[in-house]
Amino acid sequence: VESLSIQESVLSDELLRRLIAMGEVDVLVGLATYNNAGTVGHVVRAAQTAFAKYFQRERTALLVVDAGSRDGTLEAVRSTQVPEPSPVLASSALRTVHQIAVPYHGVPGKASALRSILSAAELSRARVSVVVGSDSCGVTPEWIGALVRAVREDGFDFVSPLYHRHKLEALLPKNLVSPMIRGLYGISLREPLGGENALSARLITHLLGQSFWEVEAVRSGIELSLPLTAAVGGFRLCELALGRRESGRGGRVPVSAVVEQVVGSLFTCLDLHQSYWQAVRQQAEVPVIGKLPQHASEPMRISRKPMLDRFRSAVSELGSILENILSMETLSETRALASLSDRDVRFPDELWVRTVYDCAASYHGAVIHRAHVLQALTPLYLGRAGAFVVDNLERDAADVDLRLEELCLAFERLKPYLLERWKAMDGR
Amino acid sequence: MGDKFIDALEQAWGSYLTAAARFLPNLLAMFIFVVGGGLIAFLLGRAASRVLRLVNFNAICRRSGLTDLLLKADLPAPDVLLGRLVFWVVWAGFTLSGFSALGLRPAEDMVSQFFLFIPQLLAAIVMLAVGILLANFVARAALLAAFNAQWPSPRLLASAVRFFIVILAVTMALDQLSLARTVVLTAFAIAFGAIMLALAIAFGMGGREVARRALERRFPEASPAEKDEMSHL
Repeated sequence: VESLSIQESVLSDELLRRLIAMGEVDVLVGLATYNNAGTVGHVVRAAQTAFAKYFQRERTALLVVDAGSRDGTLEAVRSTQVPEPSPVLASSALRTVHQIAVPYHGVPGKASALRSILSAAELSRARVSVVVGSDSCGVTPEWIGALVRAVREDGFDFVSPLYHRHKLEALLPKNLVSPMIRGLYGISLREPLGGENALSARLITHLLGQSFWEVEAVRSGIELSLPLTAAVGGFRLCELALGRRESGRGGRVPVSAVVEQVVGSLFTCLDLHQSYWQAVRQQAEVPVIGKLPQHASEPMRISRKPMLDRFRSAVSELGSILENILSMETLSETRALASLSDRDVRFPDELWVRTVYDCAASYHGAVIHRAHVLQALTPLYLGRAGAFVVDNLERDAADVDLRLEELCLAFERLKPYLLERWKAMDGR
Repeated sequence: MGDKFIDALEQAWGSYLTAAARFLPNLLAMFIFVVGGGLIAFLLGRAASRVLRLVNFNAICRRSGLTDLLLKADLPAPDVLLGRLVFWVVWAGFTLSGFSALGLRPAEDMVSQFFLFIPQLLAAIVMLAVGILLANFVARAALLAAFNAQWPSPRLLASAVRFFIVILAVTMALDQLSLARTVVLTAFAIAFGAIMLALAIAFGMGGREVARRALERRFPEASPAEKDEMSHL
């Protein structure tokens, strides 16, 4: 009864009416859209093809929840033609494939959209739910099929994607989010910010009962809280090798906003899960399904100088703020690093880990306003990213992976440092 | 003649003794008020400092930037400063009460005015403290936002923001105390207007190029960094 009342409050009247008319389903694919008219048709076709190709006997549904797009996204969804059975496909769904495309109600944002999708999945008793990024042009029917199989056949509760990435791409997850999660939660997730995920019914019920949906700092980077909450709840996680993800995620958003959303969400999760990660002593295995080809090694145009310049000017301009956040030792080493030339600059792993841990502890202790901690971290991250590019530009992808492994180990090794600083903040 | 003189002397002496007998207890009371009040004020001041130290008041002030401001003004730590304030307010109250014990009309007026002044003084102190806290918070927010937006001279902008808010708080506090109200308000209005006018003229006439460059930076067509193929996510 409680679950139903939560769903009722999350779902709009129209969506609720459509879901009741639809009844129960086995597989639900959900998309959260906002001005994605250009890409959503491809994703819808991929989902419909997957239903026809892999789930002919299943009750399937495609749910598109829209945040009020003005570019005709919903019309694009409705006008997308379901592919006819082709000689290659040679099959079509034997049962009705449901498709619902509605605007959602509530606070605009990905968290509300995701909550609507998960609530709809719970209400329609979907055994497997797949959440797909609406801006992803690389989604294929095979991806959706593999995501569903990982839950239904292999028994995992949360399937995290594994993409084929350039060695110098995704610098924030590689240098901060992923190694920090590994160091503290003891789980290895290379794409913790998701994109395409699959979730079991029991995990969805667990997630919908959590309080993080109401925490603003978590809502802004909601993707992170799903695997972390699943890990804390003892659910089975795995990584699934998908392929190249074609999207411009974060490309147009200022880096300070990206850091504020993603790292703010991670640091807030640390607060929510502190009793869990503080007790973690060893790594938990996260199985990997499938294998990716070698990293793409085509040349990539990256301006590292602006990143390093912003780092340098931050060390001088934001000195009074950094003094509140970083330990004396970390700050003095950071100042020494800022005095080096572009060619010589190397951001040592240990210094970077201490910088991140200092920021996490300061965020926890609210030594200054929490948003200010994240804004001060942004240029430090740019320094690390710039140095990472300088250091790895000429290395091959396998070598870069080895160096990232060393970074993960540094995050694990320095966990006592964070615990010490965390407790110092609690004891103030 | 002699008797009359002696009577006059006796009468005067008697009056003097009567007046002295009436005044001396008041004087003694005043001394007791001043000395005893000083002792009580000292103990209350120490107690206030101790309580503030126990609740970690200095750390709260350090985080808000108040301590830095006090240090810059060569003032002691916040707990010591508030302890001293308690001492002086309490002792001044006792001292003025002691003067009123003398039964002098001006002293009594001063005492009543002092006790009427205390709420205004406290309100002014609160206004000033809140103003300083707000100034530091907004200045830090402005510094970080301007820096991350790559605006020129973020520290100058943050200092200007802090300065304006502190000046506003000081003006409001002085207005609350009714100290030179007209002068303070007029000076503030003239200074504020003059600064705005100077900025408008400097930016509009003298700094057209600077304004153009700033606007270009604010709304760039496509900087080299944006042409990067790299995505942070």
